[in-house]
Amino acid sequence: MSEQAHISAAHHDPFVAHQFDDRAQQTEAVSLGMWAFLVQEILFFGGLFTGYTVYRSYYPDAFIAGSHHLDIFYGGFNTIVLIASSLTMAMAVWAAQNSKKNQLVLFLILTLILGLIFLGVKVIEYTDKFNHHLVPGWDFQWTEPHGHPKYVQIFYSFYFAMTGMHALHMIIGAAIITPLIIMAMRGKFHKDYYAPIEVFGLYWHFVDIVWIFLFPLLYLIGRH
Amino acid sequence: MEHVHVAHAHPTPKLYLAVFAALMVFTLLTIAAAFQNFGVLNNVIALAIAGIKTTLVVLFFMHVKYGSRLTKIFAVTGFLWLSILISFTLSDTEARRHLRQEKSVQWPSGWAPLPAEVKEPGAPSAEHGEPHEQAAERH
Repeated sequence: MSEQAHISAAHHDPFVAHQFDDRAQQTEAVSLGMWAFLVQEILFFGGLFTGYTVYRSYYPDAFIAGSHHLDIFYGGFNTIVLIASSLTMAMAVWAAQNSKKNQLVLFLILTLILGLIFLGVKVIEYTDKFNHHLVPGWDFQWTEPHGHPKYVQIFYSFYFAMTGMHALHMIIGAAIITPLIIMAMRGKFHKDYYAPIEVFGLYWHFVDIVWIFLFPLLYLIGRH
Repeated sequence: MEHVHVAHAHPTPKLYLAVFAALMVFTLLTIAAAFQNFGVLNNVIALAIAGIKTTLVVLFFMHVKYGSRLTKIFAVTGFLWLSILISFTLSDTEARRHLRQEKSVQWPSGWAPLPAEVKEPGAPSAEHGEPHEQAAERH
């Protein structure tokens, strides 16, 4: 440790890095940094949502016809699972803020399990699409009377690009939360230090928000 | 330093449960609404409900309600830029839509005029021709 750091550690809260004045400033810097990343993520997914909007506007009937082949049960079930995982994640942050180690570990594990259930259901859905020849560019077959195959294929391109990118975020989330669980078990997080839990929570809730839009836009169009 | 006070205010498990319950209600509501025919409003309702759910998640689960003003500006900016991305893109593509429906315009190969989509021979016509789509196609 340098002399400088020694001095500041002596004068400051040990959980405040030396470049910050106080804990409030550090907390704000942490969440602002994460929000800057999330703003970029909003626009990253925004490109897909924009493309979806343009092509759905061009080919509304093909999008509705394609959407009818998605199972509302799986989509709805996954929506509930993901929102429940957001609740357990929020509870994990709360547990960390209150130094409740066992509850923190429990809520993180529940969040991971719910995330894995979501991905499992996604595997079932993707398998179904492969079996029914609904994967664009890969032996795509469309025999329904509604919707031109060429344009229904555009819908399925968006379906796989958007849910696939979302599922990739879930997989990355599961990969990040696993070491966090181990660190939580070792008592690394408590009311004075929980920034990784807080920041991961922001990421997880963002992924939930993406699905909040994907569900109605992909599964629920033209159902009446 | 006003943010010193707000940074320590945290929501309680009770509030989180209430937000979760509200999110569940809105999820069921969006499914129920999708099966009703509100014409063009179906899309508006679906996006409005998704917007309300997002607001709840951002404010409470993501603690933006308790965050600094700068955090709030960051959060709002993301969605603002997204709306610019979508609206400016649509102002272009929706304008071209007129052109693509003009039969007289010579299109490069592969650029079929738009209405070709549904008018397949032998396709039953009625069920999917919702009023709002026909209206949209007329524009």
